Amino acid sequence: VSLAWIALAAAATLADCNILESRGAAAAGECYREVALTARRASIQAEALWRAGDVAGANAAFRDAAEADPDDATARARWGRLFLDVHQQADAEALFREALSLDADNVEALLGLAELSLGRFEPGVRGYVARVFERVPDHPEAHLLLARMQLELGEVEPVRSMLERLLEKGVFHGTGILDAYALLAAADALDDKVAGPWVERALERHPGFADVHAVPAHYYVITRRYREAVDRYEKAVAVDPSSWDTHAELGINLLRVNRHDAARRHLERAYHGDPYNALTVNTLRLLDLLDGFATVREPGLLMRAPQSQAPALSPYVRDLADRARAEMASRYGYTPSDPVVVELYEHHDDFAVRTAGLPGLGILGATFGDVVVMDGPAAKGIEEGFDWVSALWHELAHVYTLGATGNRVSRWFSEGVSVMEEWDHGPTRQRSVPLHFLEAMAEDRLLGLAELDEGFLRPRYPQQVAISYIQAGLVCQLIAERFENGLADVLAAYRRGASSVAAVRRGLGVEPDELDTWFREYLDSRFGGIVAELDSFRELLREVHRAAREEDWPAALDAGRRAVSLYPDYVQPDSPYVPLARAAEAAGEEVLLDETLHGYFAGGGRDPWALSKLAERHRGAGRTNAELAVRQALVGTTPLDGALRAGFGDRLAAAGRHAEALAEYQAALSLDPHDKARAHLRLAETYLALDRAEQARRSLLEALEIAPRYGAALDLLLKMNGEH
Amino acid sequence: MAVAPPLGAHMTLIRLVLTILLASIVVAGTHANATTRALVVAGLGGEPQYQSEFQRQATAGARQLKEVASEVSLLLGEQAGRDHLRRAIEGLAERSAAADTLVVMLIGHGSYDDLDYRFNVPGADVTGDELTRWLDAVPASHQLVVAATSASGALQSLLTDGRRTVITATRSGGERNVTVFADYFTASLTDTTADTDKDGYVSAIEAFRFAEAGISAHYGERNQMATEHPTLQGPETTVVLARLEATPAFDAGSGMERRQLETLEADIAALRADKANQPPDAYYAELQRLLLEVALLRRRVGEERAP
Repeated sequence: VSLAWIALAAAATLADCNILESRGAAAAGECYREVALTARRASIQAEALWRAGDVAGANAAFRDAAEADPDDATARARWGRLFLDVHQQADAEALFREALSLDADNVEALLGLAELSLGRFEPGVRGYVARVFERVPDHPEAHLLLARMQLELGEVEPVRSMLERLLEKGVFHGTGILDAYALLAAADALDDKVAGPWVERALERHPGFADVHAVPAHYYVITRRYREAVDRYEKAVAVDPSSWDTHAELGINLLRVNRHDAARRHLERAYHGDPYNALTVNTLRLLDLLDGFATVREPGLLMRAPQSQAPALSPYVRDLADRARAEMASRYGYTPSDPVVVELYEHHDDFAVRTAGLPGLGILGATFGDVVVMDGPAAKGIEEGFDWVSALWHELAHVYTLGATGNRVSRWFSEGVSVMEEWDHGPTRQRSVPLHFLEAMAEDRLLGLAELDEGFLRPRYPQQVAISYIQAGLVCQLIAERFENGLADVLAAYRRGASSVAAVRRGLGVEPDELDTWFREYLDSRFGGIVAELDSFRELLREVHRAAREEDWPAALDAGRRAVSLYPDYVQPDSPYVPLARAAEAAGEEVLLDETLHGYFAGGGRDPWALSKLAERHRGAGRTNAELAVRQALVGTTPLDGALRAGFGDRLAAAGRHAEALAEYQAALSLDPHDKARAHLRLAETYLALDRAEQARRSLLEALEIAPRYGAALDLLLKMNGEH
Repeated sequence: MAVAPPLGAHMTLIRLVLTILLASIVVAGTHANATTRALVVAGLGGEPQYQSEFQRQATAGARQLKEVASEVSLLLGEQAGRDHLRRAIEGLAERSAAADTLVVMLIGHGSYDDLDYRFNVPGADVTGDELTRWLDAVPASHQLVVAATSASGALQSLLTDGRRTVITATRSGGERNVTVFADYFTASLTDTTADTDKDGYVSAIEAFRFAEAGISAHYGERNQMATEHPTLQGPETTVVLARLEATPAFDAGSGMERRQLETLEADIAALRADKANQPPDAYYAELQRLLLEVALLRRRVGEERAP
């Protein structure tokens, strides 16, 4: 009896502290510390220490609680919530699972897992929440979690009415009321509505409640409205300057709008307050890395890349950015007012930190408004299936669809336009879709338009995100084919705040269901044939690759021919074209070799061996323009190969295209070639061909400065000085 | 910058003994001042693929060396056993003088057990200590050892001294995987891009830099972690390993012309060293003046040589 009384008394005191905290009272911290000193139960001590900000003390107290009562599922689950609070998700998850093994319906553990899933954009939140409601109907935190998830999916109105109803009903207490206000403020922000009374009410209850701005800011971030997010985060840190997580988020989002100095200031403040936040530490390190990047400024473009790569990459970036401005501005009715920023990373994990604050990100490029960040060609190569110029075109398309809609475009539509842009207008055009998409089509696993965003945000099977990209691209291809200005009209509807369903309805004048039906017909007409033969095609692919690997050329020729005729568009990394070309070469089948290489290249294939071979064959046949076009594509996919670029320069120079040759030679020299004297001499010769004598002289002297006995350079020096 | 052999150094072959496989080549030159002697060894391959690869690389290396050295010995197959190798080095020791240069190139598999390096050859392996002892007995005061084997980095601490420069395929004995160093190193001896100072010769330094760049690209292109890191230690070497042109332009010059070139090159080097302290226009004007003199000298040498 006495223990129970003490526990109750302590719990009541903790509740008192909670009330103080929800009011923002300065005494709350003191209250928690007092509870921590006086509580007999370790679990209550832990709660009090946690709220007082003593994470290490709370962790130790939770450990004591777990040891004192090995069957206490709730103490374990709360301990997990502590870990979640300090960004240690794996430990948190282990504790939630442990708690559920003790009590299969433990509310704290279910809430913890729901929170974890929400943060990871995983499905399952609804399931955990439903289990909580089974045990505790109207559980306030479960309602809040559900509201957060619904807001992420853009279900603004249902959230607003649900929260207002629950507030009226008195379901929320203490900080729960504040959290509900913050979500309602977020709903107003997402809807672009005049702000309701929520901010004022929250700050009236708790003047330091930063979340009333930080929560709306979070929803701006996930809907890619970074400038608005920055504005709200700035308000949040003004309300509570000691909210270190908010400083970190503000810093990360300032980077996304290209405000590096301000970003560093807030990240440094966040670090001083909380040195354990991995996002803060990683992003500060990234800023140090960015300080060493080269910055290239061109009209309408600001490019950042590693110093050693910038000169070799900038001509491509400039060319694509110019083309995007010329073409996409009219296609989508938007011209960026500020220069588009393009950052190219040498290491994938640096790009991942730039994008998400943490390494290990699955994507290869991201666009924040008019800031494009992506893996450069050094991070991933064409041999791994990464065509960086095509990826850059994809990201640039996002700049235009985001800009055209004030960042209100849905994820699926923006991705769809970008994928379609890659296929139909980009530097590597193609009509090939991967086999896993065809498989999903055959198994009826494609989503309807109304729910296509779910395929990106909360995938339900491993390849669903990749499949959703392809599906979205095909939908946009269909729209572009069937509706004049259809894509721009849908974007205009998004700009006016329409949901995906409404945007399709208003932009195209058709019901989404009708478009779904057309889409199915479109898929059948384009892929029905290959889908029916998918198993045979897979078998032929296996066979042609096996046969080529084992140099069984007759078998490779047979399987390769049949595979190519079954699905001629297929130029994915495992396409039958490359092994078929190898077999044709080995068997001396010249015509087949030419046809195969040409078909592969024309279809958008970019395997370096196949392109080199095709270029050689064009050269051998005297087809100079065709040869140069192939070499251009080859160099574009592997722009950091100095020898390849110098070789391409030689071929351009031989064809009299000296201005283009000059660009290649400059790129080759910037890549620190082994034979620098030769690289300078090439430049000198090209300048001379372009009648740029002074630059020719300087390059020539730079060659001879390295190699004073260089015969060819000395001959040119005599010639340039009239010493014949 | 590579230092080429003296101007006018005509190296005429007087003797070439070559039997295909399992044989040795000895090439000797008559030039009175040519004092470079070289020994190239292809170790035990273990598998036919490695065996033929090592022999091809060693033969290619020896072929290029014979253009610049007065004597080249090539040990292949059974002739590359421990006793043959010892005797070949002893022979070199007998024929060498202090002013001479010795080049030893070992190609094959090596191993290291945290105590001893072993060069794998038919029969008993050759240990690092044995190699050191044998080479120490050679009086040539300029020595270059190229150990193109796995684990060869273990030789650095054993072999490097004040008169011996050591190039190894790996930076330590711990890098035990098969290496590709020999392929790039021997390729440098016929590749004009390896001759970065364009004097018509490939020096040991140029060959090393070429191999280093090639290996970096080799692993980079394959997205593989490099399992070998070529290392060069010891005194700065001026040894030349290959001649790329039949007769490099300045080699035909007279003694006076040779001295003129050396003076001009010294002036250019001094000018370059002071580059940071000069206005660019003045620097390049003076550089051009000196280089024009070099160009005219080269043309004069060419005209004198013409029939």
